[in-house]
Order: sequence, then structure tokens, then C-alpha cells
Amino acid sequence: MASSLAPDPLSGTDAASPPSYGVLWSRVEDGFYVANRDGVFLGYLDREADGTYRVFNGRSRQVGEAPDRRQAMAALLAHHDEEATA
Amino acid sequence: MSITSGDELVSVVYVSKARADVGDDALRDILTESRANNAESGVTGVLLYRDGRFVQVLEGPRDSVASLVATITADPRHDDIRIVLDEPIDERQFGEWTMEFRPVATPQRALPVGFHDTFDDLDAADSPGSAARAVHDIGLWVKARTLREG
Repeated sequence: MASSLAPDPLSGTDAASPPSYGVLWSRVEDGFYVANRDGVFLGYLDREADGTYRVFNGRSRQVGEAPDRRQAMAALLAHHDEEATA
Repeated sequence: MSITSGDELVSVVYVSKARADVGDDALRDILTESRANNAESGVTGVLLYRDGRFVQVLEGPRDSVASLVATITADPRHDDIRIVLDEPIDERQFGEWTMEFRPVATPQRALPVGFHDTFDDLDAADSPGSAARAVHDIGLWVKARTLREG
């Protein structure tokens, strides 16, 4: 979980996304993004009013927070990998 | 004996264009009618509205849903109705709602590179799999927003 939360300075632009091989990211609305890989639901990201993101796993349980979308994406994939190898 | 029966639980999703003159009053009427009819026939679901387009998910016994789809198809407030998903389900995704309504804000930000737009995916309806995924994503969003609103 990110320890320092601040508004996303790049949220209004197309900030580069971290590598997420084979993951299909979808936007339902601005700030709400869902990740699937090979038909498996990995989780989703939900932006707060202050521009930070909450990160939810494939069981819709919050597993982290992040200051911007890029870091939220990385946090979700890292969490998924950790669970997969646990 | 048929493999499917009239009381088989199904999920049917359609997309349509709202006629230009469909305003808030007409939307309210659609919802009032939907909720009354759905409560009677055991149909649940969600109605989304974005940029003049409707997306409606209907869940319930096949006969009830089919009857409802026929009614909607004949409704002059909808244009260009297309069924994008019609599949049997084991359990309802929107069982708590006779017809939840969610206006979806028009995106103000560019779609991040490599991302899909869920509503565009539904419109394209490339495959039942992509439509089912889009409906799942919409379900998540509806539930997340409902939780947030308490």
C-alpha cells in the first residue's frame, strides 16, 4: 500500500501505464477501471474525490491505496501476483 | 422435452439509442413502468444511460424476460435496439433491484492508452465473452457506487 497519498498530477492526461502483460484494462467511467486477464477478474481501481485511488482485489476487497492510476495499477497486479504465489 | 424451459434463469442485455426527445420525464416514466412490471414478473436488472444510449440488463425467468424484451422493442422511446447478450445464469447479478437506474457521466478524460471503454465494448459486441465481461464490469461499478452512497 502506498504510504503517501497526494492528488494525481497526471490524472487529466494520459499518463504512461506500467507494464501489465496480458491484462485487459477497461474503463466503466472516469476513475473506475477494471482488470481482467485470460477471462479472470483480477480487481478494480476506484478514484476518490481527492484524486487518489483505492485498489480492490478480485473478491472486491480493498487491498491498497495509491496516489495515482499508474501506481494503483501496479499495486493491483503486485497484489494479484503475491496471492498467486502464496 | 426442450433443453431450456420458460422458467430457466437468463440474463439478457440490450443496447439502444434514446430518441432525441426522451427527457427526464420520459426516463422517469420508463423506470416507473419497468419497476412495476418487473416486480410482478420476477425480473431484476439495471438501466444505464450515457450519451443518449441505453444499456439495460434484464435477469429473470426466460419467458418473463422475453416478454419484456418484446415490449421494449415495440416502445417508440427506443431506437436501434440490439441484444448483445442472452445467456442462462445460475444466479442474478442484480437481484436486489427491480430496475436500478444509473446515469453514467460522459468521460471527460481521454481513455488511457491500451484501455477498453466498457460501453464501446458492449456496442461492438464482438463476442458473447466480451459482452459478458462488460456486463460484469458494469455490475461491479453499480455495486461500488451503491456502497459508496451508503
